[in-house]
Amino acid sequence: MNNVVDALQWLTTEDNWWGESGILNRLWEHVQYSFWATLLAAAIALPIGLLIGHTGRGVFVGVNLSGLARAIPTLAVVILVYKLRPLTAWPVVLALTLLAAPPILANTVAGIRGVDPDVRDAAEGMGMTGRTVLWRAELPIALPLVFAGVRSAANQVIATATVAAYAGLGGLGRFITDGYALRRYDEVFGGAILIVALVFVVEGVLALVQRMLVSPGLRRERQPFALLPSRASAPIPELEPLT
Amino acid sequence: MSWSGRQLAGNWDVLWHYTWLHLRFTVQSLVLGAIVAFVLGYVAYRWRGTYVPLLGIANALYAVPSLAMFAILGTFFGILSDRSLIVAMAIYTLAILLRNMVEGLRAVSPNVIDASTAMGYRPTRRFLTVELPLALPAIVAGLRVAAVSTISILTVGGVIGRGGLGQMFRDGYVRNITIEVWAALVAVVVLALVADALIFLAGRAATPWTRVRGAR
Repeated sequence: MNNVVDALQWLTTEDNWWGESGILNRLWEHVQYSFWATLLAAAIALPIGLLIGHTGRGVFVGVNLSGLARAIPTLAVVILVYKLRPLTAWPVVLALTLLAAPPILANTVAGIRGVDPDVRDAAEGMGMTGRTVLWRAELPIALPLVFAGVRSAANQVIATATVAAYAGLGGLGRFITDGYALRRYDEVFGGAILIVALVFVVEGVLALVQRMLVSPGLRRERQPFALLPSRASAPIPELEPLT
Repeated sequence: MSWSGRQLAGNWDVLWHYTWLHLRFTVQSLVLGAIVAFVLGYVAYRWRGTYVPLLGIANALYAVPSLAMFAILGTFFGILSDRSLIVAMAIYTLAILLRNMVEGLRAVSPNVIDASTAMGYRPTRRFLTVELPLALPAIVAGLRVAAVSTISILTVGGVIGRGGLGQMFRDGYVRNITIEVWAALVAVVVLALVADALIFLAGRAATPWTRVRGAR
């Protein structure tokens, strides 16, 4: 437990918080990378997911592509992208975007596809046409799942931005990679604690946003630990009907 | 074992060495994670009240970024030990499997359970021979996700000079050998796809009844 004490000592030393390589600046860098990557990923994956889900075309391709993306190791992508354009952040942000898009896409498709066909029929019966059905019926109902995708993407991006530090960039990962390199393990553990804290804070904020956006009528009775992270709360893949 | 020159030729033994190492770590973490998930899954299924807290803890652990997880587990297993890598991956596996196992078990039709009880199955035997097999498709689906994620995330160990193919990423980065990074990247993806396909096929072989015509 000595390490924990050391880490707390490191965290509570004022000098570690200020300056270019201080905690506050690293935190800000980390938040910036993560924010832009998640936003870009959502901007790309959401429309495509809505289109695939609504029309039902390309579901197979979309789902399998996002499954395949899981296999691609982030570290390699970050290294290769960084080799192309060293010392700039945006290629890494783009790499993070690539990794954040699949969960959003998969969950959006699953969410829209999972809407009860009766609801769709009812919406059409009420005189809604294609696009209105999507916006007024399908999307609101799919929103919890769509949001689970965004949360899972944000989580992955924050985790991955840690790795980006390995390729000479900033962010909280610096404390871990530098700490390992210099054998300053108080810094390693302190950095790890900060990253975990950031993950949980972002999860909490997104959970609150979700709570405000999702219609109260859809709030499931049994949604355990809504404030806890949701990387695992993607839909169970290929859950075949059980007899 | 290290890469020589800037070409692939002559370095196949390096690639093979790290691929094998990677596979070994993956199997160890998956087995460890699966065993714990099986026990906890049984507990969560049998005593319903424990499911939400168990899943909450598992999800919280799942959210810890891998690099941070290695560091934190290093506190217990020694800072540069392979064990923290294996345990970290086992924890991720556990989080995926626990959920799939319990949801799969809960989806077993109560009629089937009633029928087997009426046929004289006691709870333990019923669990092992009726409920668990019927939940297999969900468990296999979870195992596939866990295997692919483990193979991919394990490479992060390269940052601290541990693990399998991730060490080639590190070496390629430090020594500026792009082809080494590419070779390891391809190896990771191929390994993941092969593992995915193998588990899928094993799952199919283990659940022949899901393909019986007119079964439903």
